[in-house]
Amino acid sequence: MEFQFGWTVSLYLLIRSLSRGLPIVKPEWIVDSIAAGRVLSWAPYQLQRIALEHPNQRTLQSAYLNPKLDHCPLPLDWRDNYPTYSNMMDIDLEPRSELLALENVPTSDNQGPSSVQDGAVNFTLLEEDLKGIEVKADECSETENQGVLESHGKKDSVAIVDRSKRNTGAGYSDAAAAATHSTLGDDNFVQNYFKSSRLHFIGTWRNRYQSRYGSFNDNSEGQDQQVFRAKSGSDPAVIHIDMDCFFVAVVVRDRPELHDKPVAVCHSDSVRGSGEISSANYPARAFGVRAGMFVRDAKAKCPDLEIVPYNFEAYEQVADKVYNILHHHCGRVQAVSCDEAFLDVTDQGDPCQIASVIRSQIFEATRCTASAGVSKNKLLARLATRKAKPNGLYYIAPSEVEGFMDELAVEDLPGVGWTLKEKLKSHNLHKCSDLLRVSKDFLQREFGVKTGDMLWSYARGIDTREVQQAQIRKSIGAEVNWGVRFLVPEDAHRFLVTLSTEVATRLQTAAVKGRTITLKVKRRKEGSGEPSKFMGCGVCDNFSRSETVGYATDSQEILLRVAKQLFNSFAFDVRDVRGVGLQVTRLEAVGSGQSLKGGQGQQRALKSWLAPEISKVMLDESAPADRNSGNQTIIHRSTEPLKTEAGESIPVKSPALDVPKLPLNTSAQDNNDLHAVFTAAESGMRNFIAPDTKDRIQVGRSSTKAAPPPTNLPPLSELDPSVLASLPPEILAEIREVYGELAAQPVVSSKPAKNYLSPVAVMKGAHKTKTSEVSNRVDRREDGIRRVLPLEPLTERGESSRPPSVRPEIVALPPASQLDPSVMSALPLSLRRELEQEYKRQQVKKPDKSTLRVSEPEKLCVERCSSTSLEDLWTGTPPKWVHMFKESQDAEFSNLCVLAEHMAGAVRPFSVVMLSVLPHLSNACSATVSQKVIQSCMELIKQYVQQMIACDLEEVCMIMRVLKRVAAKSQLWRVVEDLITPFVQGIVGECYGGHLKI
Amino acid sequence: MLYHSCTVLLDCVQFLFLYFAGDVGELVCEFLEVCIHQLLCVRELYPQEIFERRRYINTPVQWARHPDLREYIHSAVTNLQPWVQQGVVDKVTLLVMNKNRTLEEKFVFSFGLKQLSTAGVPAQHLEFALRGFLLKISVSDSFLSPLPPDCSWELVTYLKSSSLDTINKDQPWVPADDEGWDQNFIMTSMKSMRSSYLDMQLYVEHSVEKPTDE
Repeated sequence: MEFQFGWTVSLYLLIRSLSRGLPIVKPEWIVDSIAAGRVLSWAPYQLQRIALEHPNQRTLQSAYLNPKLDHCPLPLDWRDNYPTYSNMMDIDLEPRSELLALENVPTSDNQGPSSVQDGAVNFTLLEEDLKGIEVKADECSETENQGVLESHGKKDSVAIVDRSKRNTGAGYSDAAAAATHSTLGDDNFVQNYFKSSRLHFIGTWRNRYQSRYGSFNDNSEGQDQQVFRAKSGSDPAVIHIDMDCFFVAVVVRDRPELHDKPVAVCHSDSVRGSGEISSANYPARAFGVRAGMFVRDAKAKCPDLEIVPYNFEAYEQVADKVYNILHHHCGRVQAVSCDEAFLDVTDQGDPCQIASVIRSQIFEATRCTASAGVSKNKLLARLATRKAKPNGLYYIAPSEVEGFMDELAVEDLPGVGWTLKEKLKSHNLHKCSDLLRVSKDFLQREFGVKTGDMLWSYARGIDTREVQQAQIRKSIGAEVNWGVRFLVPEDAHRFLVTLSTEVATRLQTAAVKGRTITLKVKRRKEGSGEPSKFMGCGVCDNFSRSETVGYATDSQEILLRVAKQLFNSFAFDVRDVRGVGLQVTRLEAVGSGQSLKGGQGQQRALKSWLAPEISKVMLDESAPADRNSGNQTIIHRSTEPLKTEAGESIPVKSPALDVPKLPLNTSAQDNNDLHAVFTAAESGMRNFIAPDTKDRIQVGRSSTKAAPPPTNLPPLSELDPSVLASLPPEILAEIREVYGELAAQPVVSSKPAKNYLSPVAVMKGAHKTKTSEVSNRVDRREDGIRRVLPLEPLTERGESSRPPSVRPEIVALPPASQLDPSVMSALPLSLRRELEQEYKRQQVKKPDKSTLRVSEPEKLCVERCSSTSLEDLWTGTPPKWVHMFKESQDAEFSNLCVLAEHMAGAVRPFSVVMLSVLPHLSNACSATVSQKVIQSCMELIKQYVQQMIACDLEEVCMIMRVLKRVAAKSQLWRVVEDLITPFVQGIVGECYGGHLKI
Repeated sequence: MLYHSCTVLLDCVQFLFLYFAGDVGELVCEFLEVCIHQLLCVRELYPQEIFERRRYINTPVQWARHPDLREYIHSAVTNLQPWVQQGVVDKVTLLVMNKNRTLEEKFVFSFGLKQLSTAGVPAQHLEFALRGFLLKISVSDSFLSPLPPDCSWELVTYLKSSSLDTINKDQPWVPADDEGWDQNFIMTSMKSMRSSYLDMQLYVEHSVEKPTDE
């Protein structure tokens, strides 16, 4: 039995939420348990009782918490100066450091209310209670964190463990703790795991940095830089700045009594001494204390060693300040990690002077010292820094390079580790000067091309690497290796849901999408028991598999599907799974990428622009000052149907969803307000549309009949008449102008906004929750699948396309035009039926749609292909799609006509037909593929599979195999296959419960 | 040591009463019997010596010679016939278990019975289609991994309805326990048939291949 606790005990008093249902016990429990020689029930020792016994406890708490609130916005601003005492009060983060800070509060810092002092005393007492007790705290669990901290090169790693959570497991039975501290029993495990993790800081630091200095997409600047470099004749100058034992220095700066003492940073200072030191200061290093040492070993070397905990908040602040200074001096900064950076100061004057100014400024701003190395390239600068440390500056002039390098031992070169060093030694190469003797060929032969090349040039002080601005991220993912315990497969699946949500959120936050999805699984090594580390992963075998999807994605659904698929493919006993990681690579910045995604970036921008505003509307609907936000909301919803090809991630909410919400809480008297909002919206709308409009009028007139080129304007078919109907007349006029005559029909009658909004008022609150969930699901789309907006019945009377206002159960549904059939088909059967019935009921009340079609068959042909008739493709003999593809005037469909022709008279199954035209299919569509064709093919196969799944598994299997064959040759079909495979596996799972072998 | 049992799994899905012409039911049962023999042989659940070659709808099949085994299969299948005729049979499965009684493979014959418009003679039509199943079974060892030694097997039938009045009291079939068979399996489709009389599918569910395969 292991008890977990330590210096965070005082935390329990303060933050109930962190205990997450675990009992908080008084320290006496431990004492008494030891005295009794067994684990006593914790019930009598629960902290709530303390609260009851000492009613003043609560006031103390609130007194403690309040001042914090006053100061909390502080760390958000990176320009701020010195931390005030509120940082020390930031209880969320580093309980120990606060405690220590409070214990040692110098009088000058004593601005806090006196109650704070009381609190500090109180906690200190508590801590003292505990000090005498020997407790086996569990520190090994934190070694991973250290790994992260120590290896600067692995800053992107996110294997981060939340300490505070772990510590709340103190003094609680293992089983119960396991239940609460693992994926078992805690649905929000993943979220909490990452959210409350402070060590996450290291992993996310680069993110912060990149967003701050905005260089994610800054390739252009990088090019400029190279051009610039080529032109300039002067010597290159690179400064390498490295903070002196950053992790220690930041903590120590507020504790003057430690200044000349050996200090090391470690997550815990336990009696057992099995924590690993992550960083030690120079006095400590003099004793031989090194990072990665166990505390007990370090203490053996240096009995006076002071162990301090991390203070991530302070690290963050210091790092921000440091980078602020660096960027102030130089435009080309390469951040290596939070405490290390390269600056390219070519042509900016004396680099030594710049470096010394930077150093002094850093010291002024942060009270931490930095060392700097100056030379002509990154390698030399870094080596110079090594020489400069601690707190110094070293300059290697071009003329000194040779002498400097000659003296250097091979292991001092970056990139030469222990193994390589030993290898070099075996060749009798000890110093860089030895390396000069051997040929490049020899080095490359012995150590590999790359390494050999590196050794050869490094030994000569040559380093061609440029000082790069922030590097582009290669992967985004999340990995949880702590507390992962599953009992049944469902546990694992539930976990994957949360994990994929986390990753999707990260992708969305970083505004990137990825194509390759990798699932990493740690499985308990055979024979190894429960790890010694509490809830740790123990000895594991690592497995990873990946799958590439057709389109870069950030959608949670796709991630989840693939993740599940991959997870199942491992076929592990879930009880042996100790860690799961999901990673997305082959990232594309949102907005770049193939033509297929045109306009996507714009949407994204729009989305981010609107998102906060919309939420604002939702929140303070009572505020009359909604003019602005309302304006934007409405723009948002009116632009929705104007969306271009991409159909990528949807703006926050569909109009069907957020519009009803708008007036939901708006009483009748607010209608005026809404009107005002609408008029305001018009002007905004016009601004928004205007540029497109002009383009379109000049360029696009002639091409109105064909499918519109991927400009910003969607084909008419994609306009939702019900949305159009709700537009103000002016905007309608403009739209009509843009679309020419075509538009005349659908927008014949426009309705004032009030009318559009009116039906919503009937929506009942209780109903809302259910139906909005339904429509949410309906509206969510799979990534990369263009949303299809079937052409609504174009009737003379516009109001028919509005949901009639008398039937509440229908009102909550999005207009049929907003439904994505692919999503519909993915819904569970019962849900789908329900929805279909609803829509049918609506349909019945609408006038017959066929009349108009007849009158304008040709014009509508394209649209019919692309949108209207993608439902029920397989009805009739020959199936409906045969006609559709044949009649289509779209060039892109012509290739598929072969398929249609073969299908027309065939009694053979589709797979056979497809197989027979295989060569045609693979020839077809080799060039650019439009969303429309993909969508059509997708639907074709999807619906076929749906039809076949219950009765003909063999055919499903066949079709997938054929698809696989075509996919090998054709881009179009590859995309279709990628999209359809998870769907098919999903539906097979639904019907049969398994996984189809294809 | 071989284990036989006749079990029925009553699956309360929904009651679907389908009138099923007698001779189709008879044909299906006869066919099932042949399939079971064939599967037992192909999957090597018994030594090859106990099988003899026979001809069924013009296809060579293996037929067990041991009278008890024959009797067992025959009685199990013929007792199924009334249910087949009533159209309540959803699936007939042949479970193969290893010596630890954990499932290795599950051959599933799933039936989608159709309302028969005519009680005519579907035999010729069906026979032609059914032949495909037998051929597929005889080559099934090519896509299935060999079974471990000492496997046992049993027949489990899934009914669409649990209404007990359809169950004859002197029936040898007994209700089965619902075995927790986790969702993590791979299905391999062996053969599907659609005809105007019935839809029939044969597929195998087997546990996911060991990751060492890669």
